Amino acid sequence: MMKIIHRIDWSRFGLPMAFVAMLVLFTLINPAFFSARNMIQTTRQGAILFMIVSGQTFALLARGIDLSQGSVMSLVSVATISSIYAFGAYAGSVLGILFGALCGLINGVVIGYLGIPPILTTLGMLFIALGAELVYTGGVTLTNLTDLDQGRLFWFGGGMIGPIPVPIVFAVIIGLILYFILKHTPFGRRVYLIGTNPDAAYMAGVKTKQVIIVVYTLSALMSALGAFFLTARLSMGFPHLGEAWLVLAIGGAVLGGTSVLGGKGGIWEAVLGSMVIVFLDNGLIVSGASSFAREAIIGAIIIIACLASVIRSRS
Amino acid sequence: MRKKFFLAGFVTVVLVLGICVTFLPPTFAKELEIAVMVPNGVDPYFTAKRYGYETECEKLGVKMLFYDAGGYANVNKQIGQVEDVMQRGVDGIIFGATSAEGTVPVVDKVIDKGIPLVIDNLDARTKKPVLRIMKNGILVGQLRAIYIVEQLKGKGTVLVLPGPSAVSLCQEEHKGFVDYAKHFPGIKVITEWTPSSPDAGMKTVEGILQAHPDLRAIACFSPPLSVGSVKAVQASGAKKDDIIIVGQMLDAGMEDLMRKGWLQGTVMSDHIEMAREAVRMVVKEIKGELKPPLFHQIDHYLITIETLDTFDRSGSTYPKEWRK
Repeated sequence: MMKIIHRIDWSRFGLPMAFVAMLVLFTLINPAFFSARNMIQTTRQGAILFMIVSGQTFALLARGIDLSQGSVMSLVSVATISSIYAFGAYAGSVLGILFGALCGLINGVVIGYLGIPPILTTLGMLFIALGAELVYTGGVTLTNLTDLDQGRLFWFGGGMIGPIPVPIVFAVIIGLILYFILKHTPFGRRVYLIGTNPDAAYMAGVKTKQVIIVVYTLSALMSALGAFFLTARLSMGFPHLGEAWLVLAIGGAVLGGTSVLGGKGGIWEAVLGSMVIVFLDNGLIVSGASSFAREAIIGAIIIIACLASVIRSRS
Repeated sequence: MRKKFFLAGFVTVVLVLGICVTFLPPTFAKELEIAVMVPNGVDPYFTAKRYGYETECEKLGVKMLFYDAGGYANVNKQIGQVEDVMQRGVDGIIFGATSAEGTVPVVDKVIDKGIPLVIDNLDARTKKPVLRIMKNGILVGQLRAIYIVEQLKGKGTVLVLPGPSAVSLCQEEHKGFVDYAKHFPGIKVITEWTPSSPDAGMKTVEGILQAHPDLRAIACFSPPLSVGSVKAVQASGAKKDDIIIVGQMLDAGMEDLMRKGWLQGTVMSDHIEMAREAVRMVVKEIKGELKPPLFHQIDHYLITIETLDTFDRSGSTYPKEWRK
């Protein structure tokens, strides 16, 4: 038995095993936790978080961070509904998402070409995006879509393809595309190289500025997609929609195993981190833990994961 | 000669200016400037109140500066905002606290500095004398409880989403609900403190529906929580009226849900009129016509689909053209 325990690569299998143990524990506490309905609805929450976490993963892999994700989400939420007022559900949705991607493009240009550190640039974008959408909406929640537009929009967030919720289907497709980009394209290898050693990447002829631009555009695009699916489900433009999501995005990425010091991690880690967070939160609710305890437990786990990530990267 | 002519001109100008300052209304002499500080501006409640503040300030010729802390969690941001407006030297402040306890030191500073202050609904529990205009949180909670208990005929599991735990009003509303429900042994109350956002409401209700499939009613603190709750109930496959949802306030989204039968009731107050009264109170305090302490409490009522089209909206709804 001890031999088996010693043979396990804990850095690789530790979290998946803890995840399974957590599922078993919560099921023992309340069997309703493992019901098909709960698994599906929690995975739907996880699908949205995964999109945002995968965006953050790109930024972390390139030895950066994207602090603007939450504000970009809020901006996309109101931009999507406003665009739908003017252009209808489909064109309006695309425009809303592009708004988010544009924020990332600006982040990338400022970081890549002007050399401003990611933490400052994205912090600036956090305030710009938040300020812009609050000025635009005057802080008012945007509702009152026509029934036709609301129906079309809601399908993306609350609809089903067979027995599977639409956001899960999209998350799987997006995940596969991002996995392919990271693992099987020159761009993906360059992201890892920049994260591991930016000087070496530059010396090796990697066009780091262009890579950085794409990284931050992707990060914002993923936040925008997450915000879009959430907005679609709520059918409203909420000016503070993304407020709580930034911490979860960074926490999910790091918890999954993506290094805060760059160069290590990936899409599988993003999936794992997102699922652990949403199932932990849901499991605590279903088992009757108080809302205060939930916040504390999730916060503590994120801090421990960050600490472990730093220790692992240094060693 | 030129010197005398210049002197006469100078004296005339001084006299004319003096007469103007003496006889023009005081507002022309110096425009009053007040700061209105709210904890969570995106909440439709504060949007509606902003209309009340703006229109009353306009009517009284007062300049209004509007500050939003951006959420109940942003206590530090709000403290910074208060310090900024003190530095600016505003004539008065209307204040809704992000935290009942956390904002007390800065509120005490405002009072010590002699800046006229009206606490509007969200209390900062200062012990110093101050003007307060408050909703009756206990009554709001009770009204929701009375309706739900009546609909459930005294039996069933009820989820209360009182909102952020640090907010005095949320604590009072929760107390009002729980204290009333205690009289009915068949009513089981579950409380979940959450941020006042639709995604938080949705996520929480989804989880609670798994743990308590027998859930029969939800009482929500705010429109965002009500909308989130409805979305979770819809996704669970429940039919309209399977789970009774009672909220607070009425915006376009909530009205739509009520007309479609997903939201059975909402507790209202004339909060636009309340905002106007807060402006009148602070202006009176600035002019020395009103002295603290004073506690002014407003009334509440519950509306359902039966009364949706007939209740008087003048104190609670702003015109559609506003904010466009």
